[in-house]
Amino acid sequence: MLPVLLLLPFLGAALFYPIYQFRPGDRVPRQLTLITTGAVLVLLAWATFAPGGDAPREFFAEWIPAIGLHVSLWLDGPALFFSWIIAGIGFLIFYYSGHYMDPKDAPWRFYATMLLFMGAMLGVVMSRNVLLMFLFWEVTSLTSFILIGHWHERKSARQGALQALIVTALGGLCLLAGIAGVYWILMDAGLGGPHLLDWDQLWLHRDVITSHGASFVVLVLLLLGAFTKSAQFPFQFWLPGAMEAPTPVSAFLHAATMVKAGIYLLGRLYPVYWAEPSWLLIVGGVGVVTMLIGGFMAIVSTDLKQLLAHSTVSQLGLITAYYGFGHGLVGTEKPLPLDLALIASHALFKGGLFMIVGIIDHGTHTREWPRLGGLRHKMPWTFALTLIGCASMAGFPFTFGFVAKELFLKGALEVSQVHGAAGIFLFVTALLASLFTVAYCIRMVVSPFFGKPRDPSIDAHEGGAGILAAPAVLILLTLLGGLYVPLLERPIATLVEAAHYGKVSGFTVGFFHHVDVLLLLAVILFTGGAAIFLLADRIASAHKVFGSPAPFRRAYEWTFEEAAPAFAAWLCGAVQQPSLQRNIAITSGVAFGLIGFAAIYSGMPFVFEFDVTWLDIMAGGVVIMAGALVLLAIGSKTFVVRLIAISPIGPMVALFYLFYKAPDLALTQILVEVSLVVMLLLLLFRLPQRFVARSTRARRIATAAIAITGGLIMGALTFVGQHSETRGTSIIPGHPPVNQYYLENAFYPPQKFQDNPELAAELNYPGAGHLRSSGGRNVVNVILVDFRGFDTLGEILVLGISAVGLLVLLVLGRDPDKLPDWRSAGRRAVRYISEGYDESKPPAPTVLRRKIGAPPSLIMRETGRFAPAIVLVFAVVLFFAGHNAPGGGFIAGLMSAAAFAILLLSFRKEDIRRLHDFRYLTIIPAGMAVALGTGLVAVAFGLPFLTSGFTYLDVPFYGEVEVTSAIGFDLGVYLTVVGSVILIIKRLGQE
Amino acid sequence: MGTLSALMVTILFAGGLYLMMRKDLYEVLLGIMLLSNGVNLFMLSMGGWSREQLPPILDAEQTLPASQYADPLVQAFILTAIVISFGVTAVIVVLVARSWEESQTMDAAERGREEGEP
Amino acid sequence: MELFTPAMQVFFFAALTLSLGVMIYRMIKGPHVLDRVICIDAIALIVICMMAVWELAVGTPYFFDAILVLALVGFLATVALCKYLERGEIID
Repeated sequence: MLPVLLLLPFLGAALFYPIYQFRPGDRVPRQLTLITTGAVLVLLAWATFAPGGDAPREFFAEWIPAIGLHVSLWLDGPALFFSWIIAGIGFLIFYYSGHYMDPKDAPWRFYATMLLFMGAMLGVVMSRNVLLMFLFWEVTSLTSFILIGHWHERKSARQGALQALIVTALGGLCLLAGIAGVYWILMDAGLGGPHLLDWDQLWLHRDVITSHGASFVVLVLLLLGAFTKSAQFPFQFWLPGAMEAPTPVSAFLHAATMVKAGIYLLGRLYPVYWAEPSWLLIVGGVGVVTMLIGGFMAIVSTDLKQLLAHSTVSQLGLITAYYGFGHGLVGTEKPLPLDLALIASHALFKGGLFMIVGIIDHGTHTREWPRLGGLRHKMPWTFALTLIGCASMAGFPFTFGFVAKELFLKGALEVSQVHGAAGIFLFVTALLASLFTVAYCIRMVVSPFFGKPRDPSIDAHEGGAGILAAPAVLILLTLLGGLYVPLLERPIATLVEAAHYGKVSGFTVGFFHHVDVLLLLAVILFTGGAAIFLLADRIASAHKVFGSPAPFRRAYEWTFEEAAPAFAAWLCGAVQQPSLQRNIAITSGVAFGLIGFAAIYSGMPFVFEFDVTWLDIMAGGVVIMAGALVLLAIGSKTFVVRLIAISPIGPMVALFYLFYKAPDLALTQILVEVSLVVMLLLLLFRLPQRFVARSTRARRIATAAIAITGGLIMGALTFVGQHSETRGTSIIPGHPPVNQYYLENAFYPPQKFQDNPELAAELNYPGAGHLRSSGGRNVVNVILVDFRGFDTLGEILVLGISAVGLLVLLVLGRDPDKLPDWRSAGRRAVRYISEGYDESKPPAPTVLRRKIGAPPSLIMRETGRFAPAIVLVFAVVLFFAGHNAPGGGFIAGLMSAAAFAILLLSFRKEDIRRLHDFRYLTIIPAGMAVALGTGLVAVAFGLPFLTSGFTYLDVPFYGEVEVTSAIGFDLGVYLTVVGSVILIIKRLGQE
Repeated sequence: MGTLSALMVTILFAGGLYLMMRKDLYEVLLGIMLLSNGVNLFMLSMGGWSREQLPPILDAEQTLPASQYADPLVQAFILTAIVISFGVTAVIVVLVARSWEESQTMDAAERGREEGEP
Repeated sequence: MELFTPAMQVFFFAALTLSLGVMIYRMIKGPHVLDRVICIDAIALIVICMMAVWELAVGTPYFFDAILVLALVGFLATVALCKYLERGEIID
């Protein structure tokens, strides 16, 4: 049930696109949001009021045990409470949006993102696993970013969105670090299990967490996450910036729900950290300071929405401070009484007031109160709702806000009694902030609605019943909750009792049931607040004289809008120069510098043992030859000499491969090198004969210095690495290195089974064969086609893609006018590839033929008759021998391509028309299909992908013959390689 | 042999890097070829050398211990690397050809100045 | 009794190294580009011989494929180079 509840909004969001495709009407999105949210509410109601309480309220599914992340959901008291707030206010907001948003202005993605946000928010509160909560937490940040930037053509909207994202994402990173810290602490204490990161486990192990040495750092990181999300000091500046969002978004995300996520986190952390002295100082202090700043800014702002935003900051500070005070409250063993009442009251009146500001905006087309006045006649309903909402915000008796304010003041008062000077400071500051609250509440009611209209051009009109309905519900709820306290108090208290917060103490709330110091305080607040309101204009002008300091916003802007971009521009300019040479120089310099540093730092032994044999002398001759060739390549002026100088390097490297006993590598290297030389020659036909690079002497010397340093570092590393002590050992102690495993398990001769009956039994010999390997004697080939077959699959994919990409590259952009149209270019490329072999047309002259003119010589033609046949036969031999001797699919494929190259060089194109015009492109996907199919056969037998096996068949008169399934995979490799290489060579030779 | 392969790696790397840092695109191409050979030889020599070792092709009766054979894993890796670098080089070959056709210059620096600098 | 004695190995190694040295001279000196083309063909042959000698020294049959392949397709590069050079005189 819980996963269904959680997935519903996501499902709704996903449905938008297909529905919109079929019915692009404007009413569909709103109905879909209402249906989805309604379904969520029904499920919630079932979870809350199910008879006998048998609705499942927990869900667990394993996900990533290695990092303690599991899909662990629950609906305990606070989760249920927040879910109701989210879904309930969400429903009203969606209803309101349908009336508020211009359909043209609110495409389906607006509603989809809103639903996505609602799902993520539900995830935050329903997650029992802290890491899972973090994931949803980040989704809320992202959706908030998208929604703030809804009118992205406005610069201020983009700025506000980016600001909110950067601040909350940075906080999210801190939160992640904090969670990791908690996990680390718990693991450090030897705890474990799939529920380790669940909230109730954290509460259970609070002693472990708080007594650890790093506890304070972890607490600060977690709190940074909460404070950034809830716009607490010193991050309070992003919330007013987020007011660029459409009003429904502001009401939903930035008043009622998302900014409460930080508060929610504080509530969850409270049972862990409440006894810590730092908790009171940090949380209480930050909360009170935020209250003060938010209240002050609310008084001096002239935009009603900004006023509400600052007031939200202030109110969030109030709730934060309340959590901080919890530390000092008497009798707070575990429960913090009725913090949820504060949250509920704020969500109700603030969500409603935001929507009302939206109505005023609609009715008057402005939100600047200095331009408004006397609206109470023209907008009576709006006025009534504003009056009640603001009364609740100010904490006036008969409203639910009064209950909340009383709770808060009681907490502040007790703190001042318990904690001495610090407590008194907190209390006084909190009182001052509450004075501001009263003052801006009066401003909100008096300035727009009383007096005379200040701007005659404004023609105010009342909103319709539809748009008034949603705020009316919220505002009336706050009034009813105040008039008849049990209406809201009882359900909340029930929820709190159900929660792990424990039993609520005998704390009662209500109005006028005791005339004590609290009521006295309330009276003081109202008179003081009224006084501040009267002085507000002077405060504002004084504020203007001093200018708007906003040091934290300034600091943010300097860091992220000036310093960071400037640094990034500098770094990119320095590193990513618009010159290939410098880029390579910088990259290789850094790479080899790091490698060399690592080698020296790790203290690799530099063993110099040089016992000269005749083999070494021969190899030394080859090395000297290679050096001479490289120098010739560098020194010569024409392309062809450079190519001549480079071409023997390949066979020399192949010789070195043989010195290292790698026949497969030598084979591959020779074949690849030959193909490459042919390709480079074909390239030469397209290029000028020479190009003299103009470079200064100093530049040449610098280049040489970098190159030689890099070469020496790599040479030294080669030398040292061969003598490294860790070579040939496994990282896991006591394990054989993997190459040894490969050597021991690649091949199972019958002898091996006879010697070892247990192994024979395990591997089911004789009979069905076995599946530990494909059973070949050439271990390199077995690794390629079996042990690491997936690697090879990726590799042939790369080769095939490069062949196709190369074709497209050869065709693209021939016609400069059509270059920007990539679609048509792609179509032309496809047509060119698939229709290039039209037999009715005369064949296009190949480059070879056109340039040379003369037909190939008699000797070439005669050689060309039989040489390819020999090469091809040899390719077939190598293919089948490959499993037990050097060879295999790669090598056979390259061999076949070489046979084709011989044909191409020996004959005119017309002579080998059918061979030449074969559609080699089709071989590439065919080869991949064969390789994939072999892998999938194993899946069909219920084995892992690409599993191969082998068995011994008893052939009459011959004896046992080994049959392996890997030959199919190798065939796929062969086909892909042969198709790609022939295609590349052929296409390069064509005009 | 270890010393000599180290020397060979030095030559291949130094030559490859030098050529790659030149202006001429054809030289850059040759440099890439040299460099990939150097990398492959470097990886192979990490497998270690001993004159007595046999190529990693097991005998039919499998009487010899694993330590008698050369390291098959580096060889498999390099085989893959050779083929991949072949595919990459082929693409660069075509890039060079098209680059010449488009702009009639083989000067990498000139192209950079055209497109990159403000 | 060993067919391929250490003394013979030394002789072959030395002879091949020497002929490689001669090739270096021709390669650097030139003077015509065709000299160099012939030179790389010769180098390929010397490398083939070196591989063969090394195979005998190690005593494994598995290097033979590589030798055969180099012999079979090694001439391709030479042929292709010649075809390119056919189109005109190139003196470096």
